[in-house]
Amino acid sequence: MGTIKIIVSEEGNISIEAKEGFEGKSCQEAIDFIMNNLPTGFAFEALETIRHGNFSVVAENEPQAYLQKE
Amino acid sequence: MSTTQKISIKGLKIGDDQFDLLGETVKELVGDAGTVTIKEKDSEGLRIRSRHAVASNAQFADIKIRFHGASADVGIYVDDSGQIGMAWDGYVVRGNQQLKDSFEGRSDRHTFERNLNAAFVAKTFEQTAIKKGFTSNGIKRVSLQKEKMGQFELELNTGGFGGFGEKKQTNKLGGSLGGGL
Repeated sequence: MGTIKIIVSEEGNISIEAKEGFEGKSCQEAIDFIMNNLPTGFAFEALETIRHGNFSVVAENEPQAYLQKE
Repeated sequence: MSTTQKISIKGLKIGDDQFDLLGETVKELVGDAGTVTIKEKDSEGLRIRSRHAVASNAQFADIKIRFHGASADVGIYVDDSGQIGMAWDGYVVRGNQQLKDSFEGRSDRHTFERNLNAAFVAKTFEQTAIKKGFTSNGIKRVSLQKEKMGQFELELNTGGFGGFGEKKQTNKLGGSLGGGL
């Protein structure tokens, strides 16, 4: 079981990070799973930065913009 | 004479069947700072009171807030596309102590709108995840006193989702993700 932490700021930035349980594995599936199952019609315009990380691995890459899929 | 009109919360649209969640979000956000009324299903809406003339398209709201000490209402509207609009006079929230206590000393309309936006997005993530078998530890608003703003945080447990026990490389976002992916 993994734990994902989601932070939504007042400025509309969304950060998602793998908090635990993903050592050596990807949390991308879980994030995609949520993003792909958002309610029909739900939309946010400010296409936010989702930060991916793994609590036991130092992230080597910069956070990236993640666009809500049409 | 001023006219109270609707303005949009930038980019935020509620999805199908999310009206109840929006009402719940508004109630939680307002808390002890005022009274929230949600229209009955299929009713024409809640007539709002303003110090000014109210634009014809803003007279009946889907959700109405009366902040303590105010003599006018805040109207929240959801159009057919799911776009959320709000109508209120700036003075309605100015000086509201409960809002100041909640929002790092701020009680202006923009602060409330931004917090509503963020809270609703957080609740949508939570609702979606729970429907798909995750569990949530709940949403909490964390106050960032130094920055004079807040953020909404939640933690989701994936449960048995996804086969994380298997060694599998997935990188659907093009290789620019953080370590371990």
